Amino acid sequence: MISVEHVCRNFGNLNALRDVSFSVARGEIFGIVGHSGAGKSTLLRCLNGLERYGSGTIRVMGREVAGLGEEELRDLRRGMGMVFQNFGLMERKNVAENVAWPLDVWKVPRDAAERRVEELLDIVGLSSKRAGRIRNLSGGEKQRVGIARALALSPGILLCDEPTSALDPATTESILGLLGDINRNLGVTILLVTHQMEAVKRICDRVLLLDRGRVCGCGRTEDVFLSPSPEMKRFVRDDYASPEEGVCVRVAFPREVAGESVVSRMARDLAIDFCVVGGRLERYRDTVLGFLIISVRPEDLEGVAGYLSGKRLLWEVIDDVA
Amino acid sequence: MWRELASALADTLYMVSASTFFSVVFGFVTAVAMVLTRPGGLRPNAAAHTALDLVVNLLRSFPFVILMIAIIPLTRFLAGTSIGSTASIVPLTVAATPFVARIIEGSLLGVDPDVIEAARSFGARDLQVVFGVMVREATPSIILDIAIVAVNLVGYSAMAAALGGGGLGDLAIRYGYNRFQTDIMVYSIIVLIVVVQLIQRTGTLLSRKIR
Repeated sequence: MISVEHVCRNFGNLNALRDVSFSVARGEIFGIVGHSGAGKSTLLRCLNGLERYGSGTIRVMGREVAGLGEEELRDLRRGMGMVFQNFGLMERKNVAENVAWPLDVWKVPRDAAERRVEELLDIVGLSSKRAGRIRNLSGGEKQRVGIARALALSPGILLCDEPTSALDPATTESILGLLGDINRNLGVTILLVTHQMEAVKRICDRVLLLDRGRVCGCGRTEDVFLSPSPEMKRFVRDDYASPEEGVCVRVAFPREVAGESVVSRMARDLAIDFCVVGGRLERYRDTVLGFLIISVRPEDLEGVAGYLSGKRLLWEVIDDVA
Repeated sequence: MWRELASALADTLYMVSASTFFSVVFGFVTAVAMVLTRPGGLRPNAAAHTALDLVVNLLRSFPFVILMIAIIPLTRFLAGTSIGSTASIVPLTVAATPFVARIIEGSLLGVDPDVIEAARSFGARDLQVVFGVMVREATPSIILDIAIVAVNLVGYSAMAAALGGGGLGDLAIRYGYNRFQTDIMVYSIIVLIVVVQLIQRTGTLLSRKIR
Protein backbone atom coordinates (compact mmCIF):
# COMPACT_ATOMS: atom_id res chain seq x y z
CA MET A 1 0.00 0.00 0.00
CA ILE A 2 2.78 2.36 0.99
CA SER A 3 6.46 1.85 0.37
CA VAL A 4 9.14 4.28 1.43
CA GLU A 5 12.70 3.81 0.30
CA HIS A 6 15.80 5.74 1.34
CA VAL A 7 13.92 8.97 1.93
CA CYS A 8 15.89 12.00 3.09
CA ARG A 9 14.63 15.46 3.93
CA ASN A 10 16.69 18.43 5.06
CA PHE A 11 15.61 21.75 6.48
CA GLY A 12 18.68 23.88 5.94
CA ASN A 13 21.38 21.84 7.60
CA LEU A 14 18.98 19.98 9.87
CA ASN A 15 18.49 16.42 8.68
CA ALA A 16 14.83 15.86 9.43
CA LEU A 17 14.79 12.46 7.74
CA ARG A 18 17.83 10.34 7.02
CA ASP A 19 17.58 7.32 4.75
CA VAL A 20 14.17 6.21 5.97
CA SER A 21 12.76 2.99 4.51
CA PHE A 22 9.70 0.96 5.45
CA SER A 23 6.52 -0.39 3.94
CA VAL A 24 2.96 -0.66 5.11
CA ALA A 25 0.59 -3.41 4.02
CA ARG A 26 -3.10 -2.95 3.27
CA GLY A 27 -5.27 -3.19 6.39
CA GLU A 28 -2.45 -2.68 8.86
CA ILE A 29 -2.27 -0.29 11.78
CA PHE A 30 1.27 0.99 11.54
CA GLY A 31 2.81 3.09 14.28
CA ILE A 32 5.53 5.70 13.80
CA VAL A 33 7.06 6.51 17.17
CA GLY A 34 9.74 8.90 18.30
CA HIS A 35 10.44 11.79 20.62
CA SER A 36 9.45 15.27 19.53
CA GLY A 37 11.62 16.51 16.70
CA ALA A 38 12.36 12.98 15.52
CA GLY A 39 10.84 13.66 12.11
CA LYS A 40 7.63 11.66 12.55
CA SER A 41 5.24 14.38 11.41
CA THR A 42 7.50 15.35 8.52
CA LEU A 43 7.55 11.74 7.39
CA LEU A 44 3.76 11.49 7.60
CA ARG A 45 3.34 14.68 5.56
CA CYS A 46 5.66 13.38 2.86
CA LEU A 47 3.21 10.54 2.28
CA ASN A 48 0.39 12.80 1.11
CA GLY A 49 2.62 15.43 -0.44
CA LEU A 50 2.04 18.15 2.17
CA GLU A 51 5.79 18.08 2.63
CA ARG A 52 8.40 17.49 -0.05
CA TYR A 53 11.27 15.08 0.34
CA GLY A 54 14.77 15.50 -1.01
CA SER A 55 15.78 12.09 -2.23
CA GLY A 56 14.45 8.55 -2.18
CA THR A 57 11.10 7.25 -3.33
CA ILE A 58 7.68 7.14 -1.73
CA ARG A 59 5.04 5.08 -3.46
CA VAL A 60 1.49 5.30 -2.17
CA MET A 61 -1.14 3.06 -3.77
CA GLY A 62 1.27 2.46 -6.62
CA ARG A 63 2.03 6.13 -7.34
CA GLU A 64 5.30 7.96 -6.78
CA VAL A 65 4.31 10.97 -4.69
CA ALA A 66 7.10 13.30 -5.86
CA GLY A 67 6.18 12.72 -9.49
CA LEU A 68 2.58 13.85 -9.17
CA GLY A 69 1.20 17.05 -10.69
CA GLU A 70 -1.21 19.26 -8.82
CA GLU A 71 -4.38 17.49 -9.93
CA GLU A 72 -2.92 14.02 -9.43
CA LEU A 73 -1.83 15.04 -5.96
CA ARG A 74 -5.37 16.19 -5.14
CA ASP A 75 -6.59 12.83 -6.38
CA LEU A 76 -4.08 11.00 -4.18
CA ARG A 77 -5.13 13.06 -1.15
CA ARG A 78 -8.73 12.18 -1.83
CA GLY A 79 -7.79 8.60 -1.06
CA MET A 80 -5.94 9.48 2.16
CA GLY A 81 -7.68 11.00 5.18
CA MET A 82 -5.68 12.90 7.78
CA VAL A 83 -6.31 13.41 11.51
CA PHE A 84 -4.53 16.15 13.48
CA GLN A 85 -3.36 16.62 17.05
CA ASN A 86 -5.22 19.92 17.41
CA PHE A 87 -8.11 18.68 15.29
CA GLY A 88 -7.98 21.37 12.57
CA LEU A 89 -11.70 22.04 12.68
CA MET A 90 -13.38 25.18 11.39
CA GLU A 91 -14.78 27.12 14.33
CA ARG A 92 -17.34 28.89 12.19
CA LYS A 93 -18.89 25.67 10.90
CA ASN A 94 -20.97 23.33 13.02
CA VAL A 95 -20.26 19.62 13.50
CA ALA A 96 -22.11 18.37 10.43
CA GLU A 97 -20.68 21.14 8.24
CA ASN A 98 -17.16 20.26 9.31
CA VAL A 99 -17.72 16.62 8.43
CA ALA A 100 -19.28 17.62 5.10
CA TRP A 101 -16.41 19.96 4.23
CA PRO A 102 -14.35 17.50 2.09
CA LEU A 103 -17.57 16.54 0.32
CA ASP A 104 -18.15 20.23 -0.51
CA VAL A 105 -14.63 20.58 -1.80
CA TRP A 106 -15.17 17.63 -4.12
CA LYS A 107 -18.64 18.86 -5.10
CA VAL A 108 -20.52 15.77 -3.96
CA PRO A 109 -24.27 16.26 -4.68
CA ARG A 110 -26.16 17.60 -1.68
CA ASP A 111 -28.38 14.64 -0.84
CA ALA A 112 -25.57 12.09 -1.23
CA ALA A 113 -23.41 14.30 0.99
CA GLU A 114 -26.12 14.55 3.65
CA ARG A 115 -26.53 10.79 3.74
CA ARG A 116 -22.76 10.35 4.00
CA VAL A 117 -22.52 12.83 6.87
CA GLU A 118 -25.21 10.92 8.81
CA GLU A 119 -23.32 7.66 8.27
CA LEU A 120 -20.08 9.21 9.45
CA LEU A 121 -21.59 10.84 12.52
CA ASP A 122 -23.07 7.46 13.36
CA ILE A 123 -19.67 5.75 13.02
CA VAL A 124 -18.04 8.20 15.42
CA GLY A 125 -21.04 8.35 17.75
CA LEU A 126 -21.88 12.05 17.39
CA SER A 127 -25.27 11.89 15.68
CA SER A 128 -26.88 13.79 18.54
CA LYS A 129 -24.48 16.71 18.18
CA ARG A 130 -24.76 17.26 14.44
CA ALA A 131 -25.78 20.90 14.82
CA GLY A 132 -23.41 21.61 17.72
CA ARG A 133 -20.80 24.35 17.62
CA ILE A 134 -17.21 23.17 17.63
CA ARG A 135 -16.24 25.34 20.58
CA ASN A 136 -18.83 23.62 22.75
CA LEU A 137 -17.35 20.16 22.21
CA SER A 138 -14.91 18.33 24.45
CA GLY A 139 -11.47 17.39 23.12
CA GLY A 140 -12.54 13.80 22.50
CA GLU A 141 -15.63 14.93 20.61
CA LYS A 142 -13.55 17.33 18.52
CA GLN A 143 -11.25 14.49 17.55
CA ARG A 144 -14.28 12.36 16.63
CA VAL A 145 -15.38 15.13 14.29
CA GLY A 146 -11.84 15.22 12.88
CA ILE A 147 -11.92 11.47 12.28
CA ALA A 148 -15.37 11.61 10.68
CA ARG A 149 -14.13 14.37 8.36
CA ALA A 150 -11.01 12.35 7.46
CA LEU A 151 -13.26 9.42 6.51
CA ALA A 152 -15.70 11.50 4.49
CA LEU A 153 -14.28 10.63 1.07
CA SER A 154 -13.97 6.92 1.99
CA PRO A 155 -10.16 6.89 1.94
CA GLY A 156 -8.17 3.67 1.91
CA ILE A 157 -5.53 5.16 4.20
CA LEU A 158 -5.89 7.23 7.35
CA LEU A 159 -2.87 9.31 8.42
CA CYS A 160 -3.06 10.19 12.11
CA ASP A 161 -0.68 12.83 13.43
CA GLU A 162 -0.57 12.58 17.23
CA PRO A 163 -4.35 12.12 17.34
CA THR A 164 -4.47 11.49 21.08
CA SER A 165 -1.64 13.69 22.34
CA ALA A 166 -3.96 16.52 23.34
CA LEU A 167 -6.40 14.23 25.14
CA ASP A 168 -6.68 12.82 28.65
CA PRO A 169 -6.02 9.08 29.21
CA ALA A 170 -9.65 7.92 29.24
CA THR A 171 -10.45 9.88 26.07
CA THR A 172 -7.25 8.61 24.46
CA GLU A 173 -8.40 5.08 25.13
CA SER A 174 -11.79 5.69 23.50
CA ILE A 175 -10.27 7.39 20.44
CA LEU A 176 -7.79 4.53 20.00
CA GLY A 177 -10.71 2.11 20.31
CA LEU A 178 -12.53 4.03 17.59
CA LEU A 179 -9.50 3.91 15.29
CA GLY A 180 -9.26 0.16 15.90
CA ASP A 181 -12.94 -0.28 15.00
CA ILE A 182 -12.50 1.78 11.84
CA ASN A 183 -9.54 -0.37 10.84
CA ARG A 184 -11.46 -3.60 11.47
CA ASN A 185 -14.87 -2.64 10.13
CA LEU A 186 -13.98 -0.43 7.19
CA GLY A 187 -10.65 -2.04 6.28
CA VAL A 188 -8.87 1.32 6.39
CA THR A 189 -5.09 1.16 6.63
CA ILE A 190 -3.98 3.40 9.48
CA LEU A 191 -0.67 5.16 10.06
CA LEU A 192 -0.40 6.43 13.60
CA VAL A 193 2.28 8.96 14.48
CA THR A 194 2.69 9.37 18.22
CA HIS A 195 5.14 9.76 21.06
CA GLN A 196 2.84 7.83 23.38
CA MET A 197 4.16 4.28 23.68
CA GLU A 198 0.87 3.25 25.28
CA ALA A 199 -1.07 4.20 22.17
CA VAL A 200 1.23 2.10 20.01
CA LYS A 201 0.99 -0.94 22.24
CA ARG A 202 -2.76 -0.56 22.34
CA ILE A 203 -3.54 -0.77 18.63
CA CYS A 204 -0.53 -1.02 16.33
CA ASP A 205 0.30 -4.21 14.44
CA ARG A 206 3.75 -2.99 13.56
CA VAL A 207 5.82 -0.05 14.62
CA LEU A 208 8.66 2.06 13.28
CA LEU A 209 10.97 3.80 15.75
CA LEU A 210 12.44 7.11 14.58
CA ASP A 211 15.27 8.85 16.33
CA ARG A 212 16.56 12.16 15.00
CA GLY A 213 15.37 11.36 11.51
CA ARG A 214 16.84 7.87 11.44
CA VAL A 215 15.03 4.55 11.67
CA CYS A 216 16.25 2.77 14.79
CA GLY A 217 13.88 -0.14 14.70
CA CYS A 218 10.92 -1.59 12.90
CA GLY A 219 8.92 -4.68 13.58
CA ARG A 220 5.89 -6.28 15.16
CA THR A 221 4.79 -4.29 18.21
CA GLU A 222 5.21 -7.20 20.63
CA ASP A 223 8.71 -7.91 19.39
CA VAL A 224 9.80 -4.31 19.61
CA PHE A 225 8.55 -3.81 23.14
CA LEU A 226 9.08 -7.24 24.67
CA SER A 227 12.50 -8.04 23.30
CA PRO A 228 13.95 -4.78 22.03
CA SER A 229 17.32 -4.64 20.34
CA PRO A 230 19.97 -2.65 22.23
CA GLU A 231 19.42 0.57 20.30
CA MET A 232 15.66 0.40 20.77
CA LYS A 233 16.04 -0.11 24.47
CA ARG A 234 16.38 3.43 25.67
CA PHE A 235 13.35 4.20 23.60
CA VAL A 236 10.94 1.70 24.93
CA ARG A 237 12.24 1.26 28.45
CA ASP A 238 10.71 2.97 31.44
CA ASP A 239 12.94 4.41 34.09
CA TYR A 240 12.98 2.80 37.50
CA ALA A 241 15.06 3.65 40.52
CA SER A 242 17.07 0.56 41.34
CA PRO A 243 18.73 -0.40 44.59
CA GLU A 244 22.46 0.20 44.70
CA GLU A 245 23.53 -3.43 44.88
CA GLY A 246 21.70 -6.23 43.15
CA VAL A 247 20.77 -7.16 39.63
CA CYS A 248 17.49 -6.12 38.11
CA VAL A 249 15.47 -8.76 36.32
CA ARG A 250 12.45 -7.89 34.24
CA VAL A 251 9.92 -10.66 33.98
CA ALA A 252 6.88 -10.69 31.69
CA PHE A 253 3.81 -12.70 32.63
CA PRO A 254 0.87 -13.69 30.47
CA ARG A 255 -2.43 -12.59 31.98
CA GLU A 256 -3.33 -15.97 33.41
CA VAL A 257 -0.15 -16.12 35.48
CA ALA A 258 -0.06 -13.94 38.54
CA GLY A 259 3.40 -12.40 38.71
CA GLU A 260 3.66 -11.82 42.43
CA SER A 261 2.92 -15.41 43.40
CA VAL A 262 5.38 -16.86 40.89
CA VAL A 263 8.12 -14.65 42.20
CA SER A 264 7.39 -15.23 45.86
CA ARG A 265 7.18 -18.97 45.27
CA MET A 266 10.51 -18.74 43.51
CA ALA A 267 11.96 -16.92 46.51
CA ARG A 268 10.72 -19.69 48.82
CA ASP A 269 11.92 -22.49 46.54
CA LEU A 270 15.36 -20.98 46.06
CA ALA A 271 15.55 -19.55 49.57
CA ILE A 272 16.59 -16.11 48.36
CA ASP A 273 15.50 -12.56 49.02
CA PHE A 274 14.35 -10.10 46.38
CA CYS A 275 12.84 -6.66 46.28
CA VAL A 276 10.32 -5.27 43.84
CA VAL A 277 11.60 -2.33 41.80
CA GLY A 278 8.56 -1.78 39.65
CA GLY A 279 5.71 -3.44 37.89
CA ARG A 280 2.78 -2.74 35.63
CA LEU A 281 0.16 -4.16 33.36
CA GLU A 282 0.47 -3.39 29.69
CA ARG A 283 -2.07 -3.90 27.05
CA TYR A 284 -0.97 -5.20 23.66
CA ARG A 285 -4.01 -4.96 21.43
CA ASP A 286 -6.09 -7.88 22.70
CA THR A 287 -3.74 -9.31 25.28
CA VAL A 288 -2.67 -7.99 28.63
CA LEU A 289 0.82 -8.65 29.87
CA GLY A 290 2.10 -8.09 33.36
CA PHE A 291 5.65 -6.92 34.02
CA LEU A 292 7.56 -7.13 37.23
CA ILE A 293 11.03 -5.78 37.76
CA ILE A 294 12.75 -7.34 40.74
CA SER A 295 16.18 -6.90 42.19
CA VAL A 296 18.13 -9.94 43.37
CA ARG A 297 21.63 -10.43 44.76
CA PRO A 298 24.20 -11.04 42.01
CA GLU A 299 25.11 -14.47 43.43
CA ASP A 300 21.46 -15.58 43.16
CA LEU A 301 21.10 -14.59 39.53
CA GLU A 302 22.00 -17.94 38.08
CA GLY A 303 19.42 -19.77 40.14
CA VAL A 304 16.74 -17.18 39.31
CA ALA A 305 17.54 -17.44 35.62
CA GLY A 306 17.17 -21.20 35.67
CA TYR A 307 13.94 -21.02 37.66
CA LEU A 308 12.26 -18.46 35.37
CA SER A 309 13.34 -20.23 32.19
CA GLY A 310 11.99 -23.45 33.67
CA LYS A 311 8.61 -21.73 34.04
CA ARG A 312 8.81 -20.65 30.38
CA LEU A 313 8.54 -16.98 31.27
CA LEU A 314 10.02 -14.16 29.20
CA TRP A 315 12.66 -12.46 31.29
CA GLU A 316 15.79 -10.42 30.94
CA VAL A 317 18.45 -8.80 33.03
CA ILE A 318 18.35 -5.04 32.86
CA ASP A 319 21.71 -3.52 33.47
CA ASP A 320 20.92 0.01 32.47
CA VAL A 321 18.16 0.89 34.90
CA ALA A 322 18.76 4.50 35.70
CA MET B 1 -24.97 76.31 13.37
CA TRP B 2 -26.95 73.05 13.45
CA ARG B 3 -27.15 73.03 9.69
CA GLU B 4 -23.37 73.44 9.48
CA LEU B 5 -22.90 70.66 12.00
CA ALA B 6 -25.21 68.34 10.04
CA SER B 7 -23.50 69.00 6.73
CA ALA B 8 -20.08 68.56 8.35
CA LEU B 9 -21.24 65.22 9.77
CA ALA B 10 -22.45 64.17 6.31
CA ASP B 11 -19.05 65.15 4.87
CA THR B 12 -17.19 63.16 7.50
CA LEU B 13 -19.34 60.10 6.99
CA TYR B 14 -18.89 60.38 3.23
CA MET B 15 -15.08 60.65 3.42
CA VAL B 16 -14.72 57.95 6.06
CA SER B 17 -17.04 55.42 4.44
CA ALA B 18 -15.61 55.89 0.95
CA SER B 19 -11.98 55.72 2.06
CA THR B 20 -12.70 52.77 4.38
CA PHE B 21 -14.33 50.96 1.49
CA PHE B 22 -11.48 51.55 -0.95
CA SER B 23 -8.69 50.93 1.54
CA VAL B 24 -10.31 47.67 2.67
CA VAL B 25 -10.64 46.48 -0.93
CA PHE B 26 -7.02 47.30 -1.83
CA GLY B 27 -5.64 46.33 1.57
CA PHE B 28 -7.44 43.00 1.52
CA VAL B 29 -6.02 42.09 -1.88
CA THR B 30 -2.54 43.10 -0.71
CA ALA B 31 -2.93 41.10 2.50
CA VAL B 32 -3.98 37.97 0.61
CA ALA B 33 -1.02 38.41 -1.74
CA MET B 34 1.39 38.80 1.18
CA VAL B 35 0.01 35.74 2.97
CA LEU B 36 0.20 33.62 -0.20
CA THR B 37 3.74 34.61 -1.12
CA ARG B 38 5.32 34.59 2.33
CA PRO B 39 7.86 31.87 3.10
CA GLY B 40 5.85 28.81 4.07
CA GLY B 41 2.72 30.23 2.41
CA LEU B 42 0.69 28.42 -0.22
CA ARG B 43 2.62 30.03 -3.11
CA PRO B 44 5.96 31.10 -1.63
CA ASN B 45 7.64 33.83 -3.67
CA ALA B 46 10.41 35.63 -1.84
CA ALA B 47 10.81 38.46 -4.38
CA ALA B 48 7.11 39.36 -4.51
CA HIS B 49 6.76 39.11 -0.76
CA THR B 50 9.78 41.28 -0.02
CA ALA B 51 8.56 43.90 -2.50
CA LEU B 52 5.05 44.03 -1.03
CA ASP B 53 6.40 44.11 2.49
CA LEU B 54 8.72 46.98 1.63
CA VAL B 55 6.02 49.07 -0.06
CA VAL B 56 3.66 48.57 2.86
CA ASN B 57 6.30 49.63 5.38
CA LEU B 58 7.35 52.53 3.22
CA LEU B 59 3.84 53.97 2.87
CA ARG B 60 3.20 53.45 6.55
CA SER B 61 6.25 55.52 7.48
CA PHE B 62 4.89 58.71 5.89
CA PRO B 63 3.25 61.15 8.30
CA PHE B 64 -0.25 61.62 6.90
CA VAL B 65 0.06 65.37 6.37
CA ILE B 66 3.22 64.91 4.31
CA LEU B 67 1.73 62.03 2.33
CA MET B 68 -1.30 64.14 1.55
CA ILE B 69 0.86 66.87 0.05
CA ALA B 70 3.22 64.47 -1.68
CA ILE B 71 0.45 62.77 -3.66
CA ILE B 72 -1.39 65.92 -4.73
CA PRO B 73 -0.64 65.19 -8.42
CA LEU B 74 -2.23 61.74 -8.05
CA THR B 75 -5.21 63.25 -6.23
CA ARG B 76 -5.66 65.80 -8.99
CA PHE B 77 -5.43 63.08 -11.62
CA LEU B 78 -8.01 60.82 -9.93
CA ALA B 79 -10.45 63.35 -8.48
CA GLY B 80 -9.93 66.21 -10.93
CA THR B 81 -9.12 68.57 -8.06
CA SER B 82 -6.95 68.50 -4.97
CA ILE B 83 -9.32 70.25 -2.57
CA GLY B 84 -12.63 69.25 -1.04
CA SER B 85 -14.11 66.15 0.52
CA THR B 86 -14.09 63.99 -2.60
CA ALA B 87 -10.45 64.83 -3.30
CA SER B 88 -9.41 63.98 0.25
CA ILE B 89 -10.71 60.41 -0.23
CA VAL B 90 -7.60 59.76 -2.36
CA PRO B 91 -4.94 60.52 0.29
CA LEU B 92 -7.09 58.93 2.99
CA THR B 93 -7.27 55.70 0.97
CA VAL B 94 -3.57 55.75 0.14
CA ALA B 95 -2.69 56.27 3.79
CA ALA B 96 -5.04 53.60 5.12
CA THR B 97 -4.43 50.85 2.54
CA PRO B 98 -1.02 49.68 3.83
CA PHE B 99 -2.33 49.78 7.37
CA VAL B 100 -5.34 47.66 6.37
CA ALA B 101 -3.03 45.27 4.51
CA ARG B 102 -0.94 44.82 7.64
CA ILE B 103 -3.75 44.19 10.08
CA ILE B 104 -5.73 41.92 7.74
CA GLU B 105 -2.51 40.01 7.08
CA GLY B 106 -2.29 39.54 10.85
CA SER B 107 -5.85 38.27 11.01
CA LEU B 108 -5.29 35.83 8.14
CA LEU B 109 -2.12 34.54 9.77
CA GLY B 110 -4.06 34.07 12.97
CA VAL B 111 -6.06 31.25 11.38
CA ASP B 112 -5.17 27.88 12.92
CA PRO B 113 -2.51 26.36 10.59
CA ASP B 114 -3.97 22.91 11.28
CA VAL B 115 -7.23 23.97 9.63
CA ILE B 116 -5.34 25.06 6.53
CA GLU B 117 -3.38 21.83 6.49
CA ALA B 118 -6.57 19.84 7.00
CA ALA B 119 -8.13 21.49 3.95
CA ARG B 120 -5.06 20.70 1.87
CA SER B 121 -4.98 17.14 3.22
CA PHE B 122 -8.27 16.27 1.55
CA GLY B 123 -7.45 17.96 -1.69
CA ALA B 124 -8.76 21.55 -1.42
CA ARG B 125 -7.34 23.86 -4.10
CA ASP B 126 -5.32 26.91 -3.09
CA LEU B 127 -8.24 29.23 -3.86
CA GLN B 128 -10.56 27.10 -1.77
CA VAL B 129 -8.05 27.25 1.06
CA VAL B 130 -7.69 31.03 0.86
CA PHE B 131 -11.37 31.94 0.63
CA GLY B 132 -13.06 28.87 2.07
CA VAL B 133 -10.76 28.58 5.06
CA MET B 134 -8.52 31.57 5.74
CA VAL B 135 -10.89 34.39 4.89
CA ARG B 136 -13.90 32.56 6.28
CA GLU B 137 -12.27 31.73 9.59
CA ALA B 138 -10.72 35.20 9.87
CA THR B 139 -13.94 37.11 9.10
CA PRO B 140 -14.84 38.00 12.71
CA SER B 141 -11.33 39.32 13.20
CA ILE B 142 -11.35 41.17 9.85
CA ILE B 143 -14.56 42.94 10.86
CA LEU B 144 -12.82 44.24 13.97
CA ASP B 145 -9.92 45.32 11.75
CA ILE B 146 -12.31 47.31 9.57
CA ALA B 147 -13.76 49.06 12.63
CA ILE B 148 -10.23 50.03 13.71
CA VAL B 149 -9.49 51.42 10.25
CA ALA B 150 -12.74 53.38 10.10
CA VAL B 151 -12.05 54.94 13.50
CA ASN B 152 -8.52 55.85 12.41
CA LEU B 153 -9.91 57.38 9.25
CA VAL B 154 -12.25 59.58 11.29
CA GLY B 155 -9.11 61.02 12.87
CA TYR B 156 -7.25 61.30 9.57
CA SER B 157 -10.22 63.01 7.92
CA ALA B 158 -9.84 65.88 10.39
CA MET B 159 -6.28 66.34 9.18
CA ALA B 160 -7.50 66.33 5.61
CA ALA B 161 -9.24 69.57 6.57
CA ALA B 162 -5.85 71.21 6.44
CA LEU B 163 -5.92 70.73 2.67
CA GLY B 164 -9.47 71.86 2.21
CA GLY B 165 -11.38 68.67 2.96
CA GLY B 166 -14.64 69.31 4.79
CA GLY B 167 -16.15 67.51 7.74
CA LEU B 168 -16.35 67.73 11.49
CA GLY B 169 -12.61 68.14 11.93
CA ASP B 170 -12.67 71.06 9.53
CA LEU B 171 -15.55 72.61 11.46
CA ALA B 172 -13.76 72.23 14.78
CA ILE B 173 -10.59 73.83 13.42
CA ARG B 174 -12.22 76.69 11.52
CA TYR B 175 -14.71 77.82 14.15
CA GLY B 176 -13.29 76.47 17.33
CA TYR B 177 -9.58 77.05 16.80
CA ASN B 178 -9.37 79.94 14.32
CA ARG B 179 -12.42 81.91 15.49
CA PHE B 180 -12.47 80.97 19.18
CA GLN B 181 -16.05 79.68 18.99
CA THR B 182 -15.60 77.08 21.66
CA ASP B 183 -19.21 75.85 21.57
CA ILE B 184 -18.96 74.75 17.93
CA MET B 185 -15.69 73.01 18.64
CA VAL B 186 -17.23 71.18 21.60
CA TYR B 187 -20.27 70.14 19.57
CA SER B 188 -18.08 68.88 16.72
CA ILE B 189 -16.06 66.85 19.15
CA ILE B 190 -19.16 65.39 20.79
CA VAL B 191 -20.47 64.34 17.40
CA LEU B 192 -17.07 62.81 16.60
CA ILE B 193 -17.14 60.88 19.87
CA VAL B 194 -20.58 59.51 19.02
CA VAL B 195 -19.47 58.55 15.50
CA VAL B 196 -16.41 56.70 16.79
CA GLN B 197 -18.45 54.91 19.46
CA LEU B 198 -21.03 53.82 16.90
CA ILE B 199 -18.39 52.49 14.49
CA GLN B 200 -16.58 50.53 17.18
CA ARG B 201 -19.75 49.13 18.76
CA THR B 202 -21.17 48.04 15.43
CA GLY B 203 -17.88 46.33 14.59
CA THR B 204 -17.69 44.54 17.93
CA LEU B 205 -21.31 43.43 17.80
CA LEU B 206 -21.10 42.17 14.22
CA SER B 207 -17.87 40.34 14.90
CA ARG B 208 -19.33 38.65 17.96
CA LYS B 209 -22.52 37.75 16.19
CA ILE B 210 -20.93 35.80 13.35
CA ARG B 211 -18.15 34.23 15.38
